[in-house]
Amino acid sequence: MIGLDVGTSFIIASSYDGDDIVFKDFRDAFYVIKPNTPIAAKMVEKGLKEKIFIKDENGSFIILGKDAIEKAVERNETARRPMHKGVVSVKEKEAKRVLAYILKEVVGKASKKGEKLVFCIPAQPVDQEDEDFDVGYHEDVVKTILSEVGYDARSVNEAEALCYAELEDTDYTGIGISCGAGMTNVCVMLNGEPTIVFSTTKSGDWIDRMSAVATGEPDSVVQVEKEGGGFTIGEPNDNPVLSAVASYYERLIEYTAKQLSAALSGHKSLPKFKDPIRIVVAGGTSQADGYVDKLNEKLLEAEFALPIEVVKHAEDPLHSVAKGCLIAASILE
Amino acid sequence: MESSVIIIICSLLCSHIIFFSAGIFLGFMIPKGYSQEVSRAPVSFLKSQKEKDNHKIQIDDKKVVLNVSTDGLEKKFDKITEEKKTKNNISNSVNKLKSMKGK
Repeated sequence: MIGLDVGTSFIIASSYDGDDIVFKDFRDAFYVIKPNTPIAAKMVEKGLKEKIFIKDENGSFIILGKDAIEKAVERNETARRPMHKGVVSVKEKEAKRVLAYILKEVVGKASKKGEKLVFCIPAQPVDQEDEDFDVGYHEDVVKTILSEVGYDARSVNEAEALCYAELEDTDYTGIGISCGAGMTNVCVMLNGEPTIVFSTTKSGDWIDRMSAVATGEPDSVVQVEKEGGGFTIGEPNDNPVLSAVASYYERLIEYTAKQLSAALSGHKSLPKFKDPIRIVVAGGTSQADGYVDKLNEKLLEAEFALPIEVVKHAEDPLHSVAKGCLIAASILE
Repeated sequence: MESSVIIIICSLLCSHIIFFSAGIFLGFMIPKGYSQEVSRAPVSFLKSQKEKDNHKIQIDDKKVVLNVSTDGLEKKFDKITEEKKTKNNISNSVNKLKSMKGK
């Protein structure tokens, strides 16, 4: 069985290997080079030796993963993504084809027909009414692709999967916040049952976009600088890109805390927790220095509706959702 | 004042009271935040796997997923992913969740 985190920035598969769990990480990005002449095509292919790429029948080269970001940065451009804000783009035809190729390569063929696979999907956002945002369509596209390679694929909410992975100690009671690149997903869980799920469409990509506008750099350059670290959220930095990133991070966390407080305040499905609750945070965007402390601070400022026991970072923030998906797949067996 | 005028005034007043009461009743019956996604109670992953009894006749107007062909793409690499292994520490979680869900 397989767990699969289909994210905007990373696609991560999880599976058992004897006494171990194996995570297979893929950087969700691609970059297309279309040479104009056969000689240029040969030169490009030679230059791509050792890189991960596919050759399209129309003569173009599609570079995949980390190599795509490197190549885009080299050319002062921005790498493309097969997904946008947590879902496959409805309009982008090429993106869907690339996503299909990537997913099939990451999970491989099912070991037997009907092998169980659980993948994550985002919740409906509270801050966007967009025709392009269609979770149902995204789910169907991913299911179709995975069924072509023999899987019985089911979906689970992203933050629900995070709760399965991280809230065992509290009998699966608490709040999971998955801070991805495209979205922030939230699940309030009581004894293993999700009571409230929602998402916001502002997360890591928003920081990249806003910092790129502020500094005049391409998004990919900002993304690479941001992932290199060397900044603390809310603190000034000598590097102008990192300084912008640190500022926008603080604004993002404040926005997320306010959305969370507003969504839960007076919600009719909000359980009456008998103890202060645990909030667990995961996802690539949460890995920045000071994220968890700042979130705790902003939740208190936003007069969060529930008493908080602790705001905790997941043990392995990048793999928590994939782990939760594998747990969900294991329960189905 | 003629008795017919009094009757008309009384019936008008009664009808106003009836419509006002009906309005209040409907206001309580329709759930608050009806149009907001966030107010919908989510369905647990495991519950959603069970067959649903759906007696309503509805047309499926979801977007159709057409075949996403990956033909014509020539592979030029050995391995697409980076692998990381960790100790299997999820069997307790699986067992606990199974017992909580009564599986």
